Amino acid sequence: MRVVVNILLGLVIPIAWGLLSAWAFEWLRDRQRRKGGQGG
Amino acid sequence: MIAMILGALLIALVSGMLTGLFGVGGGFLVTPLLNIVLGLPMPIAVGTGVMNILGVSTAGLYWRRTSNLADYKLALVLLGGNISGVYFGTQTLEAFKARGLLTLNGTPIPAADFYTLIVLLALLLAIFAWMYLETRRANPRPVRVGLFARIHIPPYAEFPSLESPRLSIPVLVYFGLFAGYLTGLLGVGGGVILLPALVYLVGMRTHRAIVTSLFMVWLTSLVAVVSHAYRGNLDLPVLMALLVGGSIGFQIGMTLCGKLDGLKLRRYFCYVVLGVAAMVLARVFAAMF
Repeated sequence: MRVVVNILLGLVIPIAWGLLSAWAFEWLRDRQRRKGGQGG
Repeated sequence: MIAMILGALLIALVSGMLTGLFGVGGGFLVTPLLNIVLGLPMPIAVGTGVMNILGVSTAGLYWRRTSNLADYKLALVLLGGNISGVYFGTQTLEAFKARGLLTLNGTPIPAADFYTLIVLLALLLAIFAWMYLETRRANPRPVRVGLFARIHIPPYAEFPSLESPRLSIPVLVYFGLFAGYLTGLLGVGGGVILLPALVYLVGMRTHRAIVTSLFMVWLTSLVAVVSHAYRGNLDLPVLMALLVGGSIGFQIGMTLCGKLDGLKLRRYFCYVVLGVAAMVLARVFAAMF
C-alpha cells in the first residue's frame, strides 16, 4: 500500500505542479502583454 | 525541518534560475546540494531530485507544446535502452546502500553517498571540460552528420528529421542505456548529456535537439520516479519546496536570459559547474582525510 502511495505521489505531484505552474505563468505573461498593448 | 524546507527552496530557486538562464542544470546541481548542504541521504536526494526533474520537464514541455519539433520516433528508440539503464542505475545505488557505512580514517560515511559523489564529481568535471572548450572555440561549425551515422551495426531505422537519416538501432539503444543509468544512479535528468549528444553524435539541429532532449528527460524521469518511489527514496516536504522554488527561479532565469549575451552565459555556466564540482570534491576529501 505504502509503495502504491509513494509512486502515485511521486508521479502526480510533479506533473500536476509542472502543468499548473507553466499554465499560471503563461496566463500572467499574456495578461501583462495585453495590458502593455492597451497602454501603447 | 523548517530550515531544511527553506534550504530546499533556496537550492531550487538557484537551480531553477540556472535552468531558465542556460537551458540545462536541474538534477546534476540539485542532487549533490541536497546531499551536501541539507544532509539528505544520497538515495533520498536522488529520488527526490528525479521527481523535481519530472516537474521541471513537464513545465518545459507545456511551454513548447506548439513547437512540433520533437522527434518522437528517435526518443522512443532511445527509451528502449533508457528503461533498462534506469533500472540498472537504481540497482547500483541500492547495492551501494546495502554496503552500509564505510570507515575512512576513522570517520564513518554512508557507502551510497561516497561512491555516488565520486561518480558525480567525474561527471561534473567532464561537463566542465566539454563546455569550457566549447565556449573557447572561435567559430564553431554546425554539425551536419553525427558520429552515430558513421557506425554501421544493423538493424537500422530511418529518422526523416535528420540530414543523415539512417542510424543503427543498437547504437541508439546503448546510448539510451548509458543516459538512463546516470539518471537512475545520480538523479541527473540527462539533458546536460543528451543535448550535446543529439547535436554532435546524432546530428540533429539544435532547436529540434532541445525539444527532443526535453521529451527524453521527461520520459526517463517518469521511469526513474517509479523506480525510486517503489524503493521509498522520497522526501515529500523537500519535493514540494523544490517544485515551488524551481518554478519561480525558472521564470526569473528566463527573464534574465533575454538580457545577457549567449556566449557569456555559457562561460558563467562553466564556472557554476566548477563550483559544484569543488563542493563535491571538498565533501569527498572531508570524508577521506
